[in-house]
Amino acid sequence: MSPPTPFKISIPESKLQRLHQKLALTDFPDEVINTSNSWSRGVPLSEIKRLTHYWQNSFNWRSAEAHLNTFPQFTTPIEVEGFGVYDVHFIHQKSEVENAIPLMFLHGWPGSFIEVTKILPELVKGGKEEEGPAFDVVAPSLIDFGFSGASKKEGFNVDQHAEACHKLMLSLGYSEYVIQAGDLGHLIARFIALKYGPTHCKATHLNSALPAEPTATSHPELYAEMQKTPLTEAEIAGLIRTKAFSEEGNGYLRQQSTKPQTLGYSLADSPVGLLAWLYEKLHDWSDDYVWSDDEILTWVSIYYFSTAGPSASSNLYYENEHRSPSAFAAMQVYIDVPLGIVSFEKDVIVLPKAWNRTLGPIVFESTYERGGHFAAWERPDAMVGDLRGMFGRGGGAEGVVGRRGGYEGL
Amino acid sequence: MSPIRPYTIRVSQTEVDKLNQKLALSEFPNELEDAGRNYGAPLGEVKRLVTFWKDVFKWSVVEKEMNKLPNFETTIDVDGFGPLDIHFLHEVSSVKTAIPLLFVHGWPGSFLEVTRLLPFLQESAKNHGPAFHVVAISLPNFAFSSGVTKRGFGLQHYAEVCHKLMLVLGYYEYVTCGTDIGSSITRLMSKLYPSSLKALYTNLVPALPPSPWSLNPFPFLSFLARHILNLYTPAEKAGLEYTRYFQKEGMGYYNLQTTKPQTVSYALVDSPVGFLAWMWEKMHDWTDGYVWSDEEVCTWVSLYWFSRAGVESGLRLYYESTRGDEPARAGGYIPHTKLGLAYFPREMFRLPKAWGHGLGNVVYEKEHKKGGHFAAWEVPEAVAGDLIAMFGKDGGAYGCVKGNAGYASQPS
Repeated sequence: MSPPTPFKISIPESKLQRLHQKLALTDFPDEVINTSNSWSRGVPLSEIKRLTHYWQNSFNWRSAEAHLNTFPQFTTPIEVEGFGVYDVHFIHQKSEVENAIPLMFLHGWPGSFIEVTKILPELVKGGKEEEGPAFDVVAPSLIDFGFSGASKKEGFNVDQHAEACHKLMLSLGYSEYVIQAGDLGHLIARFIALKYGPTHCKATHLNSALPAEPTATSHPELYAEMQKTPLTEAEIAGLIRTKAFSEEGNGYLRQQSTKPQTLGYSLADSPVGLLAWLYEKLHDWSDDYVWSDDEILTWVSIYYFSTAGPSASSNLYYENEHRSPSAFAAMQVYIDVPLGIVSFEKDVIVLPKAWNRTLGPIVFESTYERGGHFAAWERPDAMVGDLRGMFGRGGGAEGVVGRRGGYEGL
Repeated sequence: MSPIRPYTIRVSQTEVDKLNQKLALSEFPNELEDAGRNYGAPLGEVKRLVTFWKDVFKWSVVEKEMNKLPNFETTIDVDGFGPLDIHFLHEVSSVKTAIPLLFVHGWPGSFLEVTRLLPFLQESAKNHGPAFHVVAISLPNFAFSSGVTKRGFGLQHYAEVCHKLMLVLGYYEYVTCGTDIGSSITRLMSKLYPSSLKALYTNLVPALPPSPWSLNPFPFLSFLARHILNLYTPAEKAGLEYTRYFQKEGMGYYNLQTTKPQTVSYALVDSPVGFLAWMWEKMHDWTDGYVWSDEEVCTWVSLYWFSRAGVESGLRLYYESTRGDEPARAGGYIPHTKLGLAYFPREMFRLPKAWGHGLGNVVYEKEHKKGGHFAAWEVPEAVAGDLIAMFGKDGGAYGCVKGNAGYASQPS
């Protein structure tokens, strides 16, 4: 197997020029003002106007690009059975600690590999008893996202994504590994655990878990236990948040999972349209996180300049929904691979804790009042703490990767 | 009362030039191999339409043709929202006692949809059938009518504008032909203005299964029996199947537009390609094998693109229609106004005819073998035929408008 090819992001100048040509011609819609809830119908006009102006006049993509390029990136061809060979882009940073734990970080939507960049520098450190374990970190762009290739074919489903990610780890010499993931990444992680665990995938640490509700017929013991324990205030608040999402916040999901191509024309042709589409979620799904204009535009640019184009990222939503059973339903089964669940109270879908026990053997659990959907970006401290806690000395998943415990020496 | 003014459509050359500037910079997404239509509007079609729109389509020619229609404008005041300029077509029949008929469009339709009915209705007047005075409104936020950016402009306000337009034209009693959201608007009009709206015809029938709690148990028992024993006609079964399929695969735009219309508006206002695809997908999917010419598609899309209040304002109705005092409702018996229900095979919801009887006094009902959501455009002869039958001398709604039964000499 040939080694991965070193990669540096280098968007052609012509693409930047085209972007600026389009930004200069931007037409803005009018707006219905709701002073008590200015985000109720979507992103406020003043925000989009400000960001468009900044994008046109101040935002420096080359500078953002250079910062991303400080992380060691590669591409490697990965074969997916029945579909072909795909160019997978990824960050791969090895710890100086020889026995570092191989960790794959899987992003979601509207995120990207960038989400690992706040936690990575900490994760590769450590290795001494008092510091916690060290990790080798691998963070791919999912196929159809970032700088990985396009899926190109119908039916490229969560199963195929799982296969590609698993094979990526194998290609790097990591026959055993652990995963941290949220959003779409967490869906893929569940399938990796299902198909390749516990032989290869030794443990998963997940935010944004989506367990099914235990019923008297599906999980009689758990259900009986639950009847005895009332929901906490936080859990009730979580259910209310979840309900609000399903009533007001999942239009994007319904569109992307039924007519992604139709939506794609807009996202490909209008940079401001793409900005609004993604920024609405960056705002709505985070917990009072103060996004800088640079952050927002960097995240959006990764979609705008992506190899597969901004339309392709919707494909997985379509495939998930049209899979039989649907990807969401299929990954709710009990998977016997050590499981860590982190719950952020301000995430989008927040379900009662007891439900998580339907997913697998929980060896680590944590909850945070502060923090939302983009956990590794909003609360890197919490994520690093969790991973060290789960995989370090005395942690529920200590030593899961046989010969790579994350500490110096044996 | 504000006067009725003749109206001339005049889109500025600046706007036309800007559209072409943008089209020239179009960026297209890729498409999955063999995707067909499953994922949305096919790339080949969208590219072809965009090329036509840019290189062949001449808005000035289309505008000239549209200006041959009887276009008018008036100003209607809506309490709390101020005066709105309302554009409409008004074709007065040579038969003085013709039936005043208001055509109410939906999204992504327009007043244009009525123009295919006109020749058939005119023919009817000549051939001893009923005659109609036809009014086709551009709803507020659509085509050449004013936009409303104040929140809370709900279905009842659209209904108010429609009703007031008919009053301004001197039609104190009238009938309606409503499609898409126009169906909900006219249904609400029948609730709010029962002494004016004498009869209502629609092809989008907002029925619900009969309720077990209604005073007359028979419809519900019949429903149960048919449901359990699967006694629906083949057409009704197919209709239910299609309704289920549509709910699952075809409602993304609806979920989005009723919750985050502003977010999607940035893309649709900024990208003519994006907006064309957004509309074209529905124009294709909601019709029954109708062969749209590129010219037709670009005309419909341009009407939105060059609309007075912008593409985004046509979406507001969705957000408002699910909230407030008068959200769009399915079911519910509304007395007084006579109902004419038409069932076309490719309409969005195709529910058993028995359920439609729960909506009111159904005096006319027709199941068609061809046609879809834009029935008046696709199969105008069928829709006109329905109106002629419903309001003609043998029809269930004959003579419902006092003094305007649609015939040159009133029967004794």
